[in-house]
Amino acid sequence: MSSLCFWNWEMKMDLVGISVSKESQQNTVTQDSDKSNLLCVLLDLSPNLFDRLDKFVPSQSAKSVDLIEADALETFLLQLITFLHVFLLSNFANRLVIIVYNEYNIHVVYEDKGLNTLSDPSNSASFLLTEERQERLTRLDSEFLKNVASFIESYPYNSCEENGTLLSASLSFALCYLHRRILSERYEARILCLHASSDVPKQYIGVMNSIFCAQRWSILIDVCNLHEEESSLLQQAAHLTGGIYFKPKQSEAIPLSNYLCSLYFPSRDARKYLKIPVLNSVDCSALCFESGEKIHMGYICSVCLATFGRKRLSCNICGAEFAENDKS
Amino acid sequence: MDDDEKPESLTLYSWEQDIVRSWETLEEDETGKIKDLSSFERSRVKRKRKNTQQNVRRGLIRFLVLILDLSREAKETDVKPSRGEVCLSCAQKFLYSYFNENPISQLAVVVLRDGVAEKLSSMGSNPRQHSEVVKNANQKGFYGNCSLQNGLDVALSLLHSIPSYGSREVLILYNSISSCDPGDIRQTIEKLEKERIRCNVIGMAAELYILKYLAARTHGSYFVCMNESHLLELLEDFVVPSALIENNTKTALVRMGFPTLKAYKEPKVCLNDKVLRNQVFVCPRCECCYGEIPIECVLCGLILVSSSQLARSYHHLFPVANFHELEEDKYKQSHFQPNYCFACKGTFPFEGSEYFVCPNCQNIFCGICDIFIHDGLNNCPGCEIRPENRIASQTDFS
Ligand SMILES: [Zn+2]
Ligand SMILES: [Zn+2]
Ligand SMILES: [Zn+2]
Ligand SMILES: [Zn+2]
Repeated sequence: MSSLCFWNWEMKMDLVGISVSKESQQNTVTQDSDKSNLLCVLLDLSPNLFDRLDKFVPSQSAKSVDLIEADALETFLLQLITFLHVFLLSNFANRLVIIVYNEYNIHVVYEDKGLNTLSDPSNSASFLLTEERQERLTRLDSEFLKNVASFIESYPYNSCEENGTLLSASLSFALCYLHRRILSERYEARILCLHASSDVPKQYIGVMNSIFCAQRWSILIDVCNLHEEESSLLQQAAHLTGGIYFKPKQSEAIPLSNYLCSLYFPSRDARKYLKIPVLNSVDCSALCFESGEKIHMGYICSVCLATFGRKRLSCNICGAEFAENDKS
Repeated sequence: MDDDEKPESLTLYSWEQDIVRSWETLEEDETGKIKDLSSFERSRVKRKRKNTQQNVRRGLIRFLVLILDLSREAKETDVKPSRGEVCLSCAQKFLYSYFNENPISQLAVVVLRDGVAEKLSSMGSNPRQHSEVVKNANQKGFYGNCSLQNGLDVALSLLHSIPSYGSREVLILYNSISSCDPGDIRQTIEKLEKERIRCNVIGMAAELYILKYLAARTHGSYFVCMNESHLLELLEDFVVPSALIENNTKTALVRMGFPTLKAYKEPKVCLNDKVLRNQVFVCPRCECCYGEIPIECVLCGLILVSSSQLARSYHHLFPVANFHELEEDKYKQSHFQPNYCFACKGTFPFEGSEYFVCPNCQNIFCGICDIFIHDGLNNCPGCEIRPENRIASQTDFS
């Protein structure tokens, strides 16, 4: 299971364009033991992902088309698991939940219950922890792979373009889940979104509402965009919540786990010391409520703030009528 | 709000209260961490109130003049440390929530002191700039008479030139029990009424007839606050855009630009505050650079906003439907229901759990998620998965 080397993410760091800056070399990043991380992984399991898997896993000797696909998916999931192992091992108190989604539904495939030994302070012996820790990782591997397989099986393979993958719904779920946990316990909550589909104009308001909510509760949204186009919605999600938006280059033969471990593993505090890739540009353009197209200049209805690409006589959202002579 | 739900601190005037021992309301949970239940309770009360006025047309582009009375009577110490200090600190909190909820709205600050009205900041939408002047407003001290008429006149001149689609409002925090005016204040009030400017007043001292009259004539509201937490609660109500009064504003299509945030190797000068920055917003029409938006482009006059700033107001237009509360017995009878909350996956019954059902997607939520969905998230997770696609696969996970 752990055939992928845990440590090579350290060595390959600068390959990904990250160099550890000077301060962090001098004073090693202090582990804030009080604040453990609660990570929610959102994984897009729509056909869009399967179509593009070969871009992110090293190519293997071709046997048959079916086999490659199954292998590619497994390799992809194993790379994700490598990252999750690193995350869980770095701090005993770290917690994890994995939510998968496609065009039809959302499912929690793995929910971490935390370590029992931690809640019992008398049990300080570390060897107990080691055993339980190992158990936890094995449980993660088996449960995750099993549930993902059954999730994929239960939905038709053909993609339904018009619906789009349920990004807004999965973000809403993740936020409800995290909110409930951070109310009672002190966690630094984050969302890591592995998204492989294009933006759906219909979901614009839902995603934006989720972003504002995450911002208010200071929940980071990290984005790893596996789609071939840039996603304006997810760029804004990362930009507004202080997370990282990154789109792995397909040409490089670097395994995904390297990206995941080096970019998304550091906590909010540790990121201050690292050179995290910044976006060259954040697309703040609006969507025309009528056509769903992107607009950089347009008109907004003064009553409901709906945006339109062209001048019009009435608003089709709120029904307000505009006088002919109104100028900008 | 039912009377029995009022926290005790709200029912008494601050001078009638016993000594407040806020630390005694703290509760520890079994691990010794402090539970903070007060904010949770408060948001519940607030939501109940908000729900009564869903689906109304609101003026989302607001222009507000905040008038603060810092005259002699702001030195009164019936609230601690003084009326003026409390009023300034609450105003600062109000500023932040105002711009958070209404990012493309504008605001100006006016103070009343020594018989005159002084404009501290002009119409703008930069919360930092306004809060800076409010923070420093006490440096000159609180002295002199208070003139309501002068304040209203300044507000009139500030609101006179704004576009007709904006909702024009005045919010007054009044500490005094008198007004020392140069002319007939009724004429000024008439002018405000004619200009369709809504005036809301919060009095820190006893109720005054002229303030009540002002609010009534201009379709505003007048409250007398009892203590600091009451003042904050009253101010909170003015953060949410109020319902439109018929004919108060015109509808219009407003031309706006949505600039792109670009990162440059060489820093660019922001045309507004003349600061060098590496990340700037670029005007889509004339390519001027700005460090912060919203702003009106200095060169081409285009109003630059980001689409996310507009999107902050959309939840007023598409609010989440109110959930119905389910009786516990009824819930238990219908055994086919899942035994955990649809959104947070917390198992029922946990402490203080109630059962709520969404009228559109029929999913069951816990009380915590009910508040969170309506107060913070503004999405129903169940409705986001469209019902026709919901295959009966809410299988439980282990
Ligand atoms: Zn409209
Ligand atoms: Zn311009
Ligand atoms: Zn819940
Ligand atoms: Zn619903």
